[in-house]
Order: sequence, then structure tokens, then C-alpha cells
Amino acid sequence: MKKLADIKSYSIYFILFFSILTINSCTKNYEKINTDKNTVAEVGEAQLPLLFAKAVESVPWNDQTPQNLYSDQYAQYFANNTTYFPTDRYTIDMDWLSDPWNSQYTKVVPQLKALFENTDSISAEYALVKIWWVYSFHRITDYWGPIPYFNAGVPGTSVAYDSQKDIYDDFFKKLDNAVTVLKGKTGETPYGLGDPMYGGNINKWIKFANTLRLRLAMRLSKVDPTRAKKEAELAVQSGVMEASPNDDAYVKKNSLDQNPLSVMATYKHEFSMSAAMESVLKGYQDPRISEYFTPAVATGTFEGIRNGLEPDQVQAPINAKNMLSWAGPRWSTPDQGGPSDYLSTPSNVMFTAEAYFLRAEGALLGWNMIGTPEELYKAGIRNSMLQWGITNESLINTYVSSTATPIAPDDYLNSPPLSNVPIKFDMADKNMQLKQIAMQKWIALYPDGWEAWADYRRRPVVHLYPVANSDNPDISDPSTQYIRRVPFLLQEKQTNGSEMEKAIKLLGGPDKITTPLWWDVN
Amino acid sequence: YDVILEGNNKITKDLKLNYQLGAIYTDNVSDNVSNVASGLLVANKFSINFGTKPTVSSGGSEVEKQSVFGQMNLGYKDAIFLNGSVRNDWDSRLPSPHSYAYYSAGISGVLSELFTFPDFMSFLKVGVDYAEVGNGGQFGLLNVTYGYQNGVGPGYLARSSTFPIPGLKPEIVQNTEASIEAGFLKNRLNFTFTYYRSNAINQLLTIGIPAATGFSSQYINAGNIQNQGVEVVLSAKPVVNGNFNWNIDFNLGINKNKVVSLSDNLDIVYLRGYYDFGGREQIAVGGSFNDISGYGWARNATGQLLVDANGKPITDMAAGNDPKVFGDFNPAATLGLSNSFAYKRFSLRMLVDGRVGGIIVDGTEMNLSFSGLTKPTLEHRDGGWDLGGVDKDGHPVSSTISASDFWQTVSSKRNGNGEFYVYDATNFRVRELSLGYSIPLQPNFFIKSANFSLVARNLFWLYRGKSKLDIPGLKKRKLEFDPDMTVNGVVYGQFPSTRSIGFNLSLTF
Repeated sequence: MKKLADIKSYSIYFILFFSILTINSCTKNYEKINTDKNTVAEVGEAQLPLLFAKAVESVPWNDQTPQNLYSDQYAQYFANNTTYFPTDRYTIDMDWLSDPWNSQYTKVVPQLKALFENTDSISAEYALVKIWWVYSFHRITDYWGPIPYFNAGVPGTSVAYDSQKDIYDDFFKKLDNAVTVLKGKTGETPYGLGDPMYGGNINKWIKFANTLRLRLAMRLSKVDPTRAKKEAELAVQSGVMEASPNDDAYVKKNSLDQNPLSVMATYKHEFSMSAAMESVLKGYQDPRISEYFTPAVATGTFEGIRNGLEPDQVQAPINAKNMLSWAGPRWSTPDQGGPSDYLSTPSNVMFTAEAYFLRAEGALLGWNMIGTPEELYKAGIRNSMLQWGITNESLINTYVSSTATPIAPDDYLNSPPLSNVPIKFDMADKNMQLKQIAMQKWIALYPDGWEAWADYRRRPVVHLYPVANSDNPDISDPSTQYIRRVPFLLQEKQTNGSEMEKAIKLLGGPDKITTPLWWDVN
Repeated sequence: YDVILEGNNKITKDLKLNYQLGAIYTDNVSDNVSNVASGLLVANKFSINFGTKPTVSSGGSEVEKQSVFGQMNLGYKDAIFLNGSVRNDWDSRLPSPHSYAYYSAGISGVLSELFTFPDFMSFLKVGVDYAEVGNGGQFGLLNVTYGYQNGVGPGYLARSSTFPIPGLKPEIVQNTEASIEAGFLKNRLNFTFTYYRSNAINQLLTIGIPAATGFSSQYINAGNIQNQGVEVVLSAKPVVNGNFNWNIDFNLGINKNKVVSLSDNLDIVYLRGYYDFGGREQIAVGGSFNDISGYGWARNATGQLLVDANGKPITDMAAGNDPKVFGDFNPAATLGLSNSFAYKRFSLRMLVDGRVGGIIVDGTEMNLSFSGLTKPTLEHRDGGWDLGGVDKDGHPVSSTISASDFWQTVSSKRNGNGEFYVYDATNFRVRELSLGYSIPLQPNFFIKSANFSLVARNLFWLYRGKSKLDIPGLKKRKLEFDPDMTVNGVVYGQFPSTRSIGFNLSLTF
């Protein structure tokens, strides 16, 4: 028995020894052990350009699930040519549609919030963050309407939505403030190489911010004409984009962060030129057609397809992929006439031509846009041509004075011409002038279907083709109805449900694709 | 490294004690550096030096754990056993003070050693056990981090999109078990009954949170997920004879899984992030751990099936309806019955098993049916298919459709409306059939024994469940996919199970 007692007492010391050892010395390093040495825990000065670059590059221009399968189809730049994607017939895939939302809130916002917290509020760096906040958020609100905005990026178990009206009001305030700050900092180069759009060129950022303000002002031209006029005039007076290609906004891409439109070209060509684009570009004999699209492999001609075809209609021989035109050569593989670095083609952000068309429309509405509607309309066309590398002035002049109109695209459904609007500016009929400006702006905004769909909803004066079929029971008659917004996400219903329910009240209608946004009063 | 002290003592003639005391120190460090290139600049030179677009990334983790433990086992007359253990861990993954403890205790008695039972009762043992097992979670979850990403210019820095869990708690699984083992008629008939209940407390889960917070997901310690059930094993030897022996083994398992609680204000957790392949797993309070939800055939308020003006089904996905719960993948019960016969040198064994209940969603069929590659798509190819549906006001729609109209509406290949592809996963099969022969050998031969047998596995189905949804104009389809081949009940492109027939020769030297 003595032996047992010995062992027992010994073991008590043993446990005690280890416990003391463990608690007092060994857990001292635990925090360090549990830290991932391959990441950064605290944001410092050197990290700011990398955060800004991430925020800028995370806007998913022309990406498949955020844009190509939704607004690029709704704007009728591209049409689905597969049997298996239903979005062109107004089916909403909630999984795919969560991608643009998640990019904004989990890739753009956290970085911008970190920059807001780590830069001086009167610095050029802070001003650029404000501009990008507005740019990236206007895309999100113009898809959904009410969105979480003022409390975006605040951790918690729920986040409130804000009305589009309040959001737009804040957009103008932020842009105004940013431009005021930047005008006193023109010698600086904020973020330098960490600014993949302008390399920190403040004069270009000022023009970008003002052009964005002009775009947003025009968005309110029907719902709040007074505010629209005021904001538009302030933007033009402060200085918008004037000369392409110098003022144009692209975001650099490279082999490690590729242009999504180019990436999709390496897949299976799941979308083609729309019949609407074919009707207009062919009818106008538009020289941009060979920049926008590639000739069909089988025929060498430019061929489009109507939006919203059923799987069995897509399978018709005339709709075979090699019978249709794909996205232009700059987004194409070398065997389709593209450059070897086609994956690094910069993303299109915002362009001078749009600034002129916005001013032309504003001038038509009686706003002081420094120029007549005709001058500004012509300058818009000319700058769009320059943007796409068409510099032959006589070619441009011939185009501007052409009386050509869209033609019938000779497609599977024997569609009629999209419209009867000619290029040559009508000097008498104001309604025709509005249509001409809208038509040329629609051409010039390509491939930014995101903005083109928003602009179409704002003032649908040149009607796009009705979608051939709607699978969505909320749109039972596509000849009179078209999609006005995308519905709130299922993931929001599942994670932020009570706030989403309140957001439906802010929307002012049912949470459906037929409910117009605040600025859409058509 | 471990330090362990063991002891074994006889306290009195009837009372035995053995115990262990020890301490364990472990330090797991992992570092990885990966070089990735998308192609080769020089053909067949498989070196990163010849790679196009080479990128480097490194990662790693470190976990240090220190433990002390003690356990003991007290035996009385080799019939009553009492055991217990206690352990304390200090884990670097947890916040300060990094410490947690867990224990176990149990008692069992061989009653047939203590009392005298009637003759037919040859053995009886009962026992109750309680045991806990702890786990410290995952590396590096306590703080927000920013990671580097390759890209344009200097590259990017991006915050992790999963919200950290500064108050991470250890996961503890509590197991309670009670069992009875009995033998009758000189152990010709044996019976084991076990009841168990296990509760996983503070299980680490990742849940979705509103993305507008700047984080798309968050780690939580989920409250209490419970499994309970019974297992019954019966074995019998109806014939024991020099030349002929017959053995029967039967087992039955019934398990009920229940999500008791998750965390504050949280009733449901969605797994996997998307509804592709027809279904998505979810964990809901009051439901099971592996409920499957997805889109289906839209119905009106009175439950009638909706079709459009052309007679095609209106799907939940197109109508913008929410997904619905199809059911639970887990079976309510599993059964197995094995019969083996031995006659002289021949032996025959047949194992039949099966499961009752549970569902699967066949995403593979969803993809193939879109393209008309499954047998049910042969029906109504030429049209004239009246689904008997109604419009949203309840008026019957008389338009008829073809098979391609139907299947290309309900499926878009990789994603679609899973309700059309939900099957009852109940099935019974002949799992194994074997026939053996023991080859006679000379006693002094260098091979001591030789057995030859023919073995067939997964031989054929005795029963298979059917599709759950009643599609007017179509017979219910039989389950095509073996539910054993999926772990979560959503099938997409998995290999089917295989039947194997072969022979075995085993030699002993």
C-alpha cells in the first residue's frame, strides 16, 4: 500500500508541475502562434494604394453573372445563344445575381471604409475614395433601388436599406465635396500606381467626378427636374470630359486580373451580338461595328440574334454559334483576330462621348450645357468614333450627315427594323432629336450594358425589341412590358430579412421586376 | 511529446484499480508555398522557370496544444467496473486563457457473474457511459486580417470576408450511451441493445450574414445539435451440427438527428452557398442537420399546379418564389440481415441491407433530362402532353406541350428546379453473396489451409424508392442513383456505384 501512496503523491506533483508550466510560460506565445504571418493585421501608410487598387478593380465590369447575363441582355447589346441560360427570358437566378451585390459590399466597401478611416478627410486620397464610393454604389442602386448605403460596411446582424432618393442626394454631396478638395490638390498623385484608372492624375479625376455627376443629374431629369438641372449645370461649369481618348476612363487589366469580357471569349461563346445592335449598326453602316463585334465565322458577315429565344428556337441552324457575331476583336482570342494580350484589354468605365450626349439632352431640356443640342450631339458621335480608334474625319463627317436608318436584321424571327431614326440631326422635331440623342448614346455606351439599361429605363424613347419570350409570370406580355429592376436577393431575405421587408416599403411597390425605381417615372 | 505514468494495483482480492496520468504537448506547424503557372513557354520543360504567368503564394498555420489528463478504472470481482477520466487542454487557437476541460464516467456490470439466472440465460451485461470530447476550433479565427492578392500595379490588399470570432469557444461533444448485452441458450442467441444520445455543443459553423456589413459570412459556435437513436444487433445459430452450421446476424439502427439550438436570433444556417445542382443543404432549428431545400413547381394558394398559357409548368425559379424544404437526406433507419451456411467444406453467405427514409436530389438527371438523355424524356416527345395545370386564377389550361418543353422548362442543365428530381432514398439490396470452398490438403503439406470463394458485391436491388413529385402524364420514376454514393444528398456528376463479381483464393502457410 505504501507504494501506491507514493505514486499518487508523486503524480500530484507531476500534474501541478505541468499545469504551472503550461499556464505560466507556454501560453505566453499563443497569440503570436495563432496569427497568420501571411496576412496583414493592421493597415498602415504603405498599404493604402493596394487597398484602393482592390476597391477599384472589384467593380465587375462586363462580368458574366453580375452583368453579361443581366443588364447586357436587358440593354440588348448581347443576346443569349445557349439553350441553358434562362436569364434572357427574364428568369432571375438568385445565385448569380448575388455576385455584383457581394462584390460591392465585401470587396469594394471594406477597402473604401479602411481608407476612409486611415486617410485625412481633406486629402486627395480621401476625395478619390468618395468618388469611387459614389461610382460603385450608383450601379448597385440602379439595379435594385433601395439598398443598404449609409450603414454599408458596419458590422452587425442586420443592415438597414436606404431610399434611392436619399442615396442620390448623398451622391451629389460627396461628388461636390470631392471635386472642391481635388481642385486644391492638382499637383499631387494620390495612390500613384495603386490607381489603376488614372495613375493618380487629379485633373482627370475631377473630370471623371463631374461627368459622373452629370450622369446622375440626368437620371433625375423626370423625377426631380429642378435638382437635375442644378446638378447638371454645376457639373458642366466645373468641367466634364471633353476630349477622347485623353479624358476617357479605363481600368487597367493584366494577366493576373483579366478583363471578364475577354475571359468569356475563351469559353464557348455563350452570347452574341443582339438583333437590335445588328439592325442599327448595319443600317447606319456604322464603322464601329468591326470594333464592337467580330464577323460570324461561317459567313464573314455581322449577324445578331433576338433576345429571349426559347431553347428550341436557339437550336435553329440560323442561330448556330458560327452563324453569329461575337464580342469585338479586342476581347477575342488571336485566332478570332484578337491581340495576343486580349485578356489584358482594359475595362471600359466612362467616356467622353457620354458627357456630350448628356449635355445635348440637357440643352434640349433648356439647361445651360454650354452648346446647342446639335453641336453637342455631333461632338458626342465624333468623340465616340475617336474612342474606338476611328480618326478619319471625312468618314466621321459622312456618318454624321447620313440619313440612313436601321434595317431589318434578317434574323430567325424576321424582326422589323428597330426604329426609323436617322443619324442626321433633325433641326425641327424635338421628339426626333430626343430619339436621335438616345440612339447614339445607346451605341456609344457599348459595352456598358449596366449604364445603358439604366438610361433606357429613364427615358425609353427608342424602343428596344420586346423579348421574344418571357418565362417570368410577372411579365406576361413582353410587347408592352419590360424589366424595370432586379428583385431583392434571396440571400438578403435569408440573412437580413426584416430590413429587406422594410425596404419593400421604400421601393413603393411589390418586390418584382416590374416595379419601377424612384427615378423611373415612365 | 507525451509523458505518461501508468499504474496497476490490486487493492483487495476483489478490487482492482488501474490508472494513467499524463501530459501531452503537440505543436503542428504547416507552411506551404505554391508556384502556379498557366502554361509552358518551352514545350515539355516542366519547370516553373519556363512557366507563363508564374505566381507565388504562401500560407500556413500553427497550432500548439498542451494537455494534462488522468483516468482510472476500478473493477470489483471482474463483474462491476467503474471508470472515469478528466482532461484539460490549453489550445493556441482559443482566446485567453486558452483552457478547457472535459471528462468521462461510466459504470457497467456483468450481472450473470453476480447473480444466478435460469439456464436459458447464459450472459447478461448492462452499462451506462457518459463521455465528452473537446476540440479547440480552427487556426487564426480571432482577428480581422488583410490578405495580399496578385493583380494590376502593386497588387491588392483585401480584407477577409468572414467575420472573425474573438470569443471562440471549444467544441464539446457529449455522448451518453446505455447498453444491454444478453446471451441465451449457451450463447446460441445473442442480443445487444444500445441507446445513444450525442449532443454537439458549440460546433464551429460558418453562417451567412448580410453582405452589406462588409462580411459575407461569420463564424459561430452553434448551440446544440443532437443525434439520438438505438442500435439492435441480434445473432443466432439456429443449426449447430458437425456438418451443417447456420448463422443469422441482424442489425437495426434508428437515428434521429435534431437541431436543438443554433445561436441568438439565428434559426437557420444555409450550407454550400448556392442552389446549383437542384438543392442546397440547410440546418434549421427543429429540423435536421441535412435538410435539403430548392425550387420546384409553383402552385397557387389551393395547391394546384400552375402552368402558363402554353401549358408549360411555371417554376418557382421563374416566378421568383422562395425555395422550399424537400426533406432530410438522412435515413430514419438502416437494416442489415446476414445469413451464413456452412456444410462440410462449403460455405454460403448472403448479406441483405437497406435503408428506410431520407431523400436525394438527382442533379445529374436534371442536367441530362434537359438534353433529353434520360428515359422518362422519351414520353410525349411528339407533344400532346396535358399537365392538367391551372393559371394563377385557378382556371384550367388545356394547351398541351412536348417533352422538350417540359424538361427544358424545369431544368437549365446545371441548375434548375430540384423538386422534379427528388427521390425517396429508401432501398434494399443484396449487398454481398459469397460461396466458398475449403480445399482439402495433406496434413504435412507446406500450405496449411486453402480457401477458394466466389464473391459478388452490390448484386441487385430488392427495392428502390420512387420520385416524390407526381407529374401528371408520367409514371413515377425509380431511383436511379445509389444514395450510398453521396454524403449530403445532392447528387451531381458523382460516379454511380458498381457491382463487382470476383473470386478469392486465400492460402495460409
